Parts: sequence; structure tokens; C-alpha cells
Amino acid sequence: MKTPRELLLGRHEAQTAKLDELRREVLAGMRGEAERRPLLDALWQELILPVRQAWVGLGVAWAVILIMNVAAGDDGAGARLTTGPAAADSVMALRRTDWLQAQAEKAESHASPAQPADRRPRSEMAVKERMV
Amino acid sequence: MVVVSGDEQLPVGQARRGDADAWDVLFKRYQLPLYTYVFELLRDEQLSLDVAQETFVSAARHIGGLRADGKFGSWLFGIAHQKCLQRWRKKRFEEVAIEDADWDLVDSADDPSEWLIQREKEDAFMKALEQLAPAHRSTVALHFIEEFSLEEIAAITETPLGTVKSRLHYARKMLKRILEDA
Repeated sequence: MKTPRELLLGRHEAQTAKLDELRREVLAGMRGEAERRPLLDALWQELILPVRQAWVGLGVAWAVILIMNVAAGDDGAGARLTTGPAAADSVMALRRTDWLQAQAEKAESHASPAQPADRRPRSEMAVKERMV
Repeated sequence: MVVVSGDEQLPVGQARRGDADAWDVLFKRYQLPLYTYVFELLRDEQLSLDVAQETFVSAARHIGGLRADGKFGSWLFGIAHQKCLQRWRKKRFEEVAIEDADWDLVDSADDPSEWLIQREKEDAFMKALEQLAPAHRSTVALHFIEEFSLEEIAAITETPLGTVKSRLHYARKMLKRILEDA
């Protein structure tokens, strides 16, 4: 006496050798595919796919942060240029630089031009001195 | 090395990570039941081997789609069932099925998986199985081969639970009648 399961599987037991061979073929194909698999695909399969919900959540969070950042930047950009301690410091620094530059130019214009050097051969100078 | 301590502790998690040894264990566990099921639908040895191979390849590629590791068996049979349907489409698999939703629900006291078939009635049983419409044969084969629950059979065959119940009831009645006549 046999159960239906035993009877059904028993009828196909002769196929076990073929099924073993088939299994080995599939596994060999899998191993070969894994070796040929490019890095990006491997990362996708092993890093992204198993925890895709977590990655989607992270992506959404970053998108929200980015949108909020852009929205805040549009509202405050003009204000940041004209007000605040950083802007005042910059204006002061610019004025000081202009003033220093103006002072330097003024001092340069008042200074006497440099006398050209008395360039003569040493032999001539010697002769002149002897004549005096 | 993959170690399997029991039938229900299959290395599905390791297979998910691409462990070839784990796949070897899983394929070895299911190769004969899967082939038997496919053969019962297609009735062609070479075609059934092809479908079994395609099922294994597809399972390895799409393991990410399996939601619960404990459902690996029914998920694998679901892939095989879909592949059989693709082969059967030309023969109008679904239209051959006898839809009889008014059948009574399955009586668990007379569960066909608990039947014991006498040696002299084995051939009659197999012939009776062949005579069933494919949809009924599919349902009863899933019940016999892997003892899937009605819900699992409904998921594998993508059929409403009520239809699975009525198909199983009808198949049981037919098989019983044929076995009694034999």
C-alpha cells in the first residue's frame, strides 16, 4: 500500500539521474554568471536589493532635506547679502583696503624722482679727477 | 558547506546571498516533486525537464521577489505553474477546467492525501489522475505531492480559494469513483 505521494514520486524516480545532471548544469551556469557579473550589478544585488525599503527611505529623506534647503535658500539669499555681521565686516575690510591703496598712491606721487646713476667707465672718472 | 537539519529548515537565506551550495540543497530537495508536478500537467518528459530547468534558473534570478523564506516551496511551484500555463496556453488550459463552484467544501476526514492505494489499484489511480481536467489535476497533484494547504494552492495557481476547494472536492469524488470501479 502506498500513499498518493509515494506513488506519484515513485513513478518518476527514474528521472533522478537526469534531474541531477540538470541541477548541476543550472548551478554551473549560476557560478559562471556570478563570476562574470560586473561590480555594479553585484553591488545592486547584494547591497541595494536586500534592503531596498531602507534605501528608498533614505532617498526620500534626502529629497525632503534638499527641497527644504532650496526653499530656505530662495527666501534668505537677498537678506544675507545686505544684513548681518559678516556683511558689515566685509564692507569695512573693503573700505580699509581702498583707503590703504589711496595712501600708497599719494605717498608715491610726492616722493622725488630718483637721480639717474652716474654711469661712466671707471677709466674716464679717474681722468677727470686727475685733471681737477 | 550548507547543513540542513530538517525538511523545514532549508537554507533559503543563504541562497538569497548567492550561495551556490545552498541552491544545490534547495534544488535537490525539490527537483523530483517539482518535475512530478510539471509532468502531471504537461504529460511530456522532455518538456517537463525543460520547464524544471527554466524554473530553477528563474528562481535563482528572482529570489529577491520571495517575501517569506518559509514560503519558498509554494513560491517555486508557483513559478513552475506559470511556466506550465505558458506552454498550455495554446491548448486553452483554463477553458478545459470544469468550474463547479457549488460543490461542497472538502471533507478533511476523507482527505485524499491520507489515502492508501492498494498495489493492484495503482495503475487505476494513475489513469484516473490522467482523466481529470488539467485544472483539477493541478490542484490535486499539489495537494498530493507537497501537501500544500488550500491557501497555498490558491496562491500557486492564482485561483480563488473557493475554486480550489471545489476543484479538490470534484477531483476527490472522481478519483474515488474510479478506484471503487477498478
